Amino acid sequence: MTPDLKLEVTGQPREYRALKLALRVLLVSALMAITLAIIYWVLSQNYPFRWRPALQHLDAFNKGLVLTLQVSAVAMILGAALGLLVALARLSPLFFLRDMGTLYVHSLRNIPFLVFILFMYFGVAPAFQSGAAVDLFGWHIDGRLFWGILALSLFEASFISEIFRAGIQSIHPTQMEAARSLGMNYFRAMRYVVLPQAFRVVIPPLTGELIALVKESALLMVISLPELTLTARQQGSQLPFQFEFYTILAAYYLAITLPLAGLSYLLERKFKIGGREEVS
Amino acid sequence: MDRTSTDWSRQARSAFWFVLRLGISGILLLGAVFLIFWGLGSHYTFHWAEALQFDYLMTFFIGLKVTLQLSVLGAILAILLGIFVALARLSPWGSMRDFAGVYVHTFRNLPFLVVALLFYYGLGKAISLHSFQFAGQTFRPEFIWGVLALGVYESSYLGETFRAGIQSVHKEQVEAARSLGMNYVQVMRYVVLPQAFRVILPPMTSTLIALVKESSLLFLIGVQELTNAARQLAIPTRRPYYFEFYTILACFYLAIVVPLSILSHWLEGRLGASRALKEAAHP
Repeated sequence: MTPDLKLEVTGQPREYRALKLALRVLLVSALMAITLAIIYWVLSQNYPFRWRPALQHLDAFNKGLVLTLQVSAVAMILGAALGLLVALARLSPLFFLRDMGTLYVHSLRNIPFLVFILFMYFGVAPAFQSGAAVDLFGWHIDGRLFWGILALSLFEASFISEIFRAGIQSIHPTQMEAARSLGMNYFRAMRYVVLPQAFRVVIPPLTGELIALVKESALLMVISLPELTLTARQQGSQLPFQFEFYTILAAYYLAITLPLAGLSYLLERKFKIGGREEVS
Repeated sequence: MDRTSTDWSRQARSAFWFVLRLGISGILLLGAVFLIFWGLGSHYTFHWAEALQFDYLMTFFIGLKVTLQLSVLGAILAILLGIFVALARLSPWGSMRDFAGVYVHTFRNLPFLVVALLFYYGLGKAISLHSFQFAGQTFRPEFIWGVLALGVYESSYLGETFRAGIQSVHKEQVEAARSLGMNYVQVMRYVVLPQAFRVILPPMTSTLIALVKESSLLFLIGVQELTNAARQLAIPTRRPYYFEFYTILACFYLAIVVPLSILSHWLEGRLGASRALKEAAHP
């Protein structure tokens, strides 16, 4: 809300601040290194670490990474589209649309994603006799990929719709009324007045949701979709260095999610300073 | 007397309309789902009577017990660790703060599945735990690693919640309490924590809900919990009514989580902290 007063008050020269930051980073890295070294040493008493042979399987990990990124991207787009529809349903003047949206959101938000994916793939998919491949308008898709993406986007839609709803509700109702009184219909008012303003409120939490989605895509391993986690698990069960593989796996996930977390933080700061004061 | 009775009848009427509304919408939603289900060409026949047998339900209840044990033990561990994380994040030493920050951001940005696999298959290989008996029940190593993974993972979320709660208490209050001669522990105990508690409780409940949901992943490391029960029952060749079993599984989780959700919502309204914050944001 308020601009960062601390910087103005202290007014230290830029070089000094950079030096302080560098010192801080150095200190915490040293601390981390010492802690990890102690843990590593304790573990290596019972477990022979073999990093060099483990690191030769990075090609398989990269293949899994590509699939994880593809699945997450498609599921995010579908989930956002569906989430917007659900949010609009929850804000509609028709009570049954509102309540159907509410039931949809709350029933999916309150079950684990694992249960949902098991339900979709082992419960719903066999009822369609669509095991190996799904025929979607003459376009053959791998069954695991289809049901995995469908489950992920349906599940995420319930979370994303809450973000959209909060974003739309954060726009003062007088804006809608003013747009309507100018002769716009409901959809034009949404399209040109409410949604563009809601967009900036919605973007930071949406980035956070993308992180959650990437994390949830790890569960697609239970339907044997060969993404990052399944790759590590398959390689790990054949070869004797499981610890190394799971550590590499964690590093891969952090390489996806940490930049997104940083982006989310930056977007939040950027949008905070801009618009909110003008409204109130 | 008269007034309470009219209040009661009004409440009863509104409750009636609420239930009716929810019923209509629920039927509409289920109808839509099944229209899609059959419209897309499914010829599935339901076997609810077979799926709801006593033996099968007992399997679910045994799984439920393990899920609840995992959740409660994991939650206790997560709260204890979370307090340490929050204190470290608020400590006067910069490197301590950064250290805890690295811990928090590492675990928050990993999938819980990866943490569970790393703990059980990674650490489990180097540190061998033995199963032990307690209160007539055997706790196997995968259960212990599962509780540890849950506790460590969720402590990174709870730590941030606790920190935000403590920071929501104005600094002037701490200074005022210190100037009255209280020491750090007394300030925390009598001034900061009682106020922070109001802010912390609702988000803490939702983290605990997430913990219950995440405990379902522990079937992948071999813990015999609720999801595992459904996995064992729903074998298509032997019992061709998998759909029913997974629906029952979902209902079991809803039965644990929905009361917690309602509690979280109720606390949020009752404690009024977040409402006060909302009112401050939109006067």
